[in-house]
Amino acid sequence: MYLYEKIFDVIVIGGGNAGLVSAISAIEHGAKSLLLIEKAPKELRGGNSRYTRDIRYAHEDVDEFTTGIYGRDEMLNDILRVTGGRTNLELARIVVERSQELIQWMYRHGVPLVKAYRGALHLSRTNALSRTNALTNASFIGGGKALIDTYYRYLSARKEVKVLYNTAVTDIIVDDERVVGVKALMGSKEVVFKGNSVIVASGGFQANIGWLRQIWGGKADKFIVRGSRFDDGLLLMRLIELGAMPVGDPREGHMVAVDARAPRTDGGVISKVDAIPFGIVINKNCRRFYDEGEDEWLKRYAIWGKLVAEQPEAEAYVIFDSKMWGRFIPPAWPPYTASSLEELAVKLNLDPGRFIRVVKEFNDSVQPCRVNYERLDGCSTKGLDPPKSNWASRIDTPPFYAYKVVPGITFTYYGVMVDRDSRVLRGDGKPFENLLAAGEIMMGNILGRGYLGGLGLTIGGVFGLIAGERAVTL
Amino acid sequence: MSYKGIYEEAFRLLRICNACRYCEGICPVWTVIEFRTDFGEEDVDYIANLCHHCTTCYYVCPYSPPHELNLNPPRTFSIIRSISYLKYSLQPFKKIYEKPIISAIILQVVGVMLALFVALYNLGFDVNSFFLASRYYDVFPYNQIYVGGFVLAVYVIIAFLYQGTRFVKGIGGFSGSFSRSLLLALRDALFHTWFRDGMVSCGYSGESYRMLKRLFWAPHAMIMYGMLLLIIATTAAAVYKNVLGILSPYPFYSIPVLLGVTGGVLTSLGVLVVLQGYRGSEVELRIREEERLNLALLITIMLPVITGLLTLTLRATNLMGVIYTIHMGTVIGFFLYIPFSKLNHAIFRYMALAKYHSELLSHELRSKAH
Repeated sequence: MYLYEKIFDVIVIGGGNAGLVSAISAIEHGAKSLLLIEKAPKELRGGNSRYTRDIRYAHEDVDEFTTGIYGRDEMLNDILRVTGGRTNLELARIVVERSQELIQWMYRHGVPLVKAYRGALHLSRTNALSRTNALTNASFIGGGKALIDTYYRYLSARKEVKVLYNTAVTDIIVDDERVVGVKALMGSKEVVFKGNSVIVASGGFQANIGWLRQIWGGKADKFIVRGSRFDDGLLLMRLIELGAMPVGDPREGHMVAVDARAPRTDGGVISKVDAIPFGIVINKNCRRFYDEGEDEWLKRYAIWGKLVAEQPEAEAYVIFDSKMWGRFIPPAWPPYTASSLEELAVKLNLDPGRFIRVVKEFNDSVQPCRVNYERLDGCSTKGLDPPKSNWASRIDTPPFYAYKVVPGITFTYYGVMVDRDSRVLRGDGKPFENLLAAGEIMMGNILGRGYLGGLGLTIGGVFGLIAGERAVTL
Repeated sequence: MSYKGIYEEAFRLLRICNACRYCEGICPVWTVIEFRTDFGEEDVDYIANLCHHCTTCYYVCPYSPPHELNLNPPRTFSIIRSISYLKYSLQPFKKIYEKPIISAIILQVVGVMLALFVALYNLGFDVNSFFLASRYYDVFPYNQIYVGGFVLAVYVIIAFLYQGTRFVKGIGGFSGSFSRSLLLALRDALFHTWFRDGMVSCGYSGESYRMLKRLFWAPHAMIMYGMLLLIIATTAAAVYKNVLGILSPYPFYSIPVLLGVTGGVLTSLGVLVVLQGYRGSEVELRIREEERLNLALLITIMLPVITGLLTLTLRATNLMGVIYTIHMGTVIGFFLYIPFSKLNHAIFRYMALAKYHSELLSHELRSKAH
């Protein structure tokens, strides 16, 4: 074991959005020396933020990044609604209050935010898309890699900052109520780094299949980890062992239905199957199990991962016909295609008799209706359980298509409880004096369940700002 | 990689990119990808020729190597571009594409031999008279230059038209107003629109921000405008002779010589910088096929330029006849080679840009109708 001789003002664990914002915030609030420890190699750095695209924030007036007003009350209500009230209202309010300031901060730090004027294609009223390089002008390029590269560029220009890649923090060294440093593994070498305060931004445990297996049993082996393979939650586990107060339900998280052919980890956005509202979804036994047209897709996509996880062998099949092709963004792999339902069943390895029956039952229950995919059209089935409440349209025009889907886990909500200064709370309700947390590892404080697109980056960013500000004072 | 393998890779890439769409707005490539749900060879050829190789998408992509999805749009498109020149070329001559450098050199030699033979014929096969010739027209009478130039020009124009037409057919034709699309594409080409606009991040290469990379339109402009100057210089010379009745040699400060020299130097410098740029870029972004085409183009441009400058400096000496003949030979070699050179890119890119505009126009029409 080696002891690194220097004592850092601030040690940040994790080099995704939350960690990077914390680091920059700490430097700008006077940290004289800062160590940022990233588990991934440089080429794969950035945790889940690498695969993000947009960030949600409240704005009381029309600004250049969004197409309309999205007030604080509205945003807070949205959080309350999607979580069903399972949120720490005080912290949720902080996120909402400081979200607009965060956007200005990001813009000032060169994060290329998309100007909304060309926004016909994907811009929404609530989210700002991030894109590369604001230094030149207002054109747009998407993606979290550009976001994190912008922050890393900032840090690499600072002499007082040291960034270590390929380094895994294995332990936090606690002395009474204070943290004195961290233990890290650099290759096979164990090194102790001392610091005056420590910010943990190491993510959830979604990439730890062993842990997922404890919760979901053997089904966990089917799960696709949509984000970084480095988010193994080991540090989260260690914090809880050290007495940190856990928050959230380990079964909850951001989970979507993804193509079964997706890479085991790091597939990002490309595996999401958006075909669900355009057809029916059945499980391995050829049974439908949930209303595919319950609500707008953007409010429902993040529940389908869990729905699929609850099916036999954690898999399901999305069935649609040629009338629907081209109506949704296709995933990266072509669908199963057949000229008859029977052939499709054979290709999918499903019982053709049952398969044809479930489609027929569905078709027979579809009422004559003018389907309109632009809105909730009320075109529903009759006498079917579960119903399809909107966009119900017969599956009758070959070729027939199918995607096999499995649960795709984006991030888990189970984490450590924090106070309004983002300090990690212990079981006795008191905080560790100088141990702070930001990002997915404390997401469960605000998101008890459900999800609002783009909120992950907001929570990571706002608590990153707070952690950086506070860390230098502790 | 086999022909089929390369297209399979392009299909894989396009499907992934179309599922992601984070690059939306970088350049027209990403716009036209979103207009499609399935991709055939014609789409791949079209999209590849729309790509300007700014490499921004490679650097912003979370899936670029070492990610297991191993996406590299600039590289894939570049390889496809090289293939597309071959695919839509005059098939009997496709060997020329396959071995560009050696072909460029051979055609230069053929040109010089031809010029030497004709010059000797004109001089009565008397080698001594080479060194006695004092005027250009002693070596090649004006008629010969006129007819030769005409034949070569027709040959080049027909070859480019043929290949351009095959390319347009190959990418599935146009969908909106043809003439308006051509005009809009011309504007893009002349002003280098997609080297500058939209590409917010021309200078963007991950952690580092290369200001120089933002100037990557400059060498291209040098080549393009250099070539245009050369054409204008030649036209000016014809005007001097036919309209004004002034015979060559023209003084250094005359329009044909000034434009010709500037054009030649600009073009060669541009190709050199492009070639150097490739050397300097990441291994993942270097494409052998493209480098070979560029080198062949450099050879075929540099030789006429160098011999032209030599002719200019030595025109008052008794070496004039020889060097002028060699120069004319390299010019013939240049014309013989260019229909099979990287310059096809000018036609293909222009047509791809025009198709992009035609798609935009028809898309706008559709959304209005909607």
